[in-house]
Amino acid sequence: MSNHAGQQTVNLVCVKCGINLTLGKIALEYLGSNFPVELYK
Amino acid sequence: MDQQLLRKREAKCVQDNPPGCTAGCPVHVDVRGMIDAIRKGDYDKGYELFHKMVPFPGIISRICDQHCRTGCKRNEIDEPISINALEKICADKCQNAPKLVRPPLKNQKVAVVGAGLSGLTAALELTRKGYRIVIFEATGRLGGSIWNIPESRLPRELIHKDFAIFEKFPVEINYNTAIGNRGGSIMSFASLCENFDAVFLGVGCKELNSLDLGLEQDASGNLVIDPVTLATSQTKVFAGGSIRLGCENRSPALSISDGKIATISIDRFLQGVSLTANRGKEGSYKTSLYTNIAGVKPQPIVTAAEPASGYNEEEAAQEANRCLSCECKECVKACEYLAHYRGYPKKYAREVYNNLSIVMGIHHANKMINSCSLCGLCEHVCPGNLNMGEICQEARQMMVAKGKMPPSAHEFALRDMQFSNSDRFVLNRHQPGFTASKMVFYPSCQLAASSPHVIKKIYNFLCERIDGGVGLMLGCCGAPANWAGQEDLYKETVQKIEQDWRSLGSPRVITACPSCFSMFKRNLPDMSVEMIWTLFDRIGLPFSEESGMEPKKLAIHDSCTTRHEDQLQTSVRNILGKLGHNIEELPHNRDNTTCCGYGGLMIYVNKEVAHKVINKRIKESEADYVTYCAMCRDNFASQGKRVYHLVDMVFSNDQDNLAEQEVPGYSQRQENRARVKTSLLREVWGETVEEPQSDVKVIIPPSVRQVMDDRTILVDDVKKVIAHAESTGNKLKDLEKDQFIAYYQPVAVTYWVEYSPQDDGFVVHNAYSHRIKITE
Repeated sequence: MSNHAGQQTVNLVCVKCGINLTLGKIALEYLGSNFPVELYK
Repeated sequence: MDQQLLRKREAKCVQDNPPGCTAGCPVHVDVRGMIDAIRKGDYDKGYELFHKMVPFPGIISRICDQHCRTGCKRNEIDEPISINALEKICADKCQNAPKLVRPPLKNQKVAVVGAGLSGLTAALELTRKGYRIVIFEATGRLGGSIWNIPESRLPRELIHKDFAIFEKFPVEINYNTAIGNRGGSIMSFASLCENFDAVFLGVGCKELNSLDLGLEQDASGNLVIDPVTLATSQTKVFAGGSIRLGCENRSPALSISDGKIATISIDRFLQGVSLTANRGKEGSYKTSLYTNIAGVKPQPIVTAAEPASGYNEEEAAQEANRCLSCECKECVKACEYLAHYRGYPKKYAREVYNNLSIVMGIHHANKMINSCSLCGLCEHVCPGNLNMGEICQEARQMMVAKGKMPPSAHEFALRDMQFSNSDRFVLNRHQPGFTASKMVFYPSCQLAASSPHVIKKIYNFLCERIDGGVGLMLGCCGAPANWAGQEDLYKETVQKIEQDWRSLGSPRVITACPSCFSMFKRNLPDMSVEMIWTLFDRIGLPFSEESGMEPKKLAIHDSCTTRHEDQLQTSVRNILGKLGHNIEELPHNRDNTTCCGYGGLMIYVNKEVAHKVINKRIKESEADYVTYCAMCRDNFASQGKRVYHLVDMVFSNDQDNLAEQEVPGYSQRQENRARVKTSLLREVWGETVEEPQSDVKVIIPPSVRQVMDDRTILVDDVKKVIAHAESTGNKLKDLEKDQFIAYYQPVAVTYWVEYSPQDDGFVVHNAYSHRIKITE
């Protein structure tokens, strides 16, 4: 996942809506701890 | 795990105990460390270690009476190390002496009567603790009887150099100042005691009456001195050195030791604490450190070419190399897991305890706790029988109970167990045509996964040979839950097995897996259980035409779960003999055998350690191996070893190249189990069984299969992702690669698959997984 985020651009498209993925803030959770990160979504 | 239990367990590990030389030395010089420094040519370090315990290193390096040598392990082989000669070269070659530290002065004053080695040691040590010291010496110089030693043995400049230390501390020295009734005495002993907070008496071999001490003497006229505290009959007066040892038993090492022991007593006395508490390890004692000297060859002691000068550097290095650097570490030598973490059980037990005790912070020992194979080898080789597996398994149970077990540790193995105890594999039947079973065959989930083709053959053979009906039970014995510390799940699994077994009339269980055998034997006391090998040894083998195999030399690997099953191990050897093979015993065999890397779920938790374990084991012999456990066979074969499973040798044809049989991946293992069940139902019980039809057809190249196995991702997981993506449309398109990317989280793990459609199915290009959840 971090490799994906580290790239400048990704050429991924949501098949349902036809929109390119862009960097955005998301929240991850593991064993009760939360991690805000920036990933393509 | 409470503190008391921890202490009891860690006390079994003797590795922390000093070697015999250090324990034998009255002042406990770290001889092993000093010799190690000499091997490296680091004389400063050697001197530092020597001087740390010996206040007058120049003098003692020439005149020590070497109590250390009586404790040297080499006494059992040839001659003890020439320790004093090595101390001498450290004292001679040292370039940088350690710096002195002067502590703040206290108000209490201590009188030291007599400036021999014991008195000077007490004076120096008490000064270092901050007490104000006044020395009363009857003669005009320090050192007492050491001046009687010839100069050729004890050069005078060494005496002056060692005693120059008193110029650097605020010690008051009164020369030519006798105490008592002697001629020229300036003060009675009673007056001295009134003027000082404590007194150390180290007057050497003197006629006591002439001193008018007023202290209790025994029938022989000797001063009564407590051997532990060196206290006399007068509360604040302590005594040691030659006055205690006697003129015939003078000992420089013991005099220095007395000075140190008296220092501890005087310090405790002046602080108002117990004089006697925890004083077991002062002076010489016998160590409980175990050191294995098997295979150590005698080596003559190194003689200095010029005895008057002592060892040169080359001679010192040679003599240092004779030192065995005594330590125990029997378990660490035997176990790659224990060696991996670079410690030993006493240290590990403490780490486990700390790991369980912390509330916040990082649990550093989690992986160490979960990596142990629980095989019991450490207990077998440990002189104190400490079992790290016992500690680790208990820790796992506590981690599970507290919700502190990382889910990634055992989840895959537990899911695999869940599969084996699901309807896909579980089967409980009487033999066709029977309503009761005299015996029941329990082949095990792992044998069904590794060698599915033999299950029916074994079952048919048992049915032919055993009267009264042979039932069949397919399932998993619960070992993964037991090893994972999942007590509730394990109990539940065992109860279900017991219930199924009782429903068949509680027949005698014949299993083909050593782990099942061990689990049932330990945890189902009502169950009568036996492995196929002891049974076959009694009833004979199925010598069919196809079971023929050319006789060859085979090295036997005993499974760790059979460690204490002597009869079983003997039966396996008998069977190999009946098959005509020559048996090679591995260095670790029978009750001394090693784990294959599967026990305790090691291979799921820590592949690095498991591979070390496997590779160490398979290099013990060039011969092909034979095992009688499916996982042992598969783990060794996975690292390139030619290895047979005994069951394949008996029931298969070697034309199948049995020793090189490919190890099935995790998906194939589950598939094999499911097929064993359906084929048995069809072929033995004549039932019609419908194969579950998969909605998604996948094509997985071998390289991707390997990646999936390394990441414990099953084909079924991949199919679920693709099925979900294709039915919902929730997928991404990688425009560069022209592939889809999709994810799905069936339970706790999120799986990602990169795939592309091909004909009526899908080609899988990559798969990965994670347990982190995306919450927004």
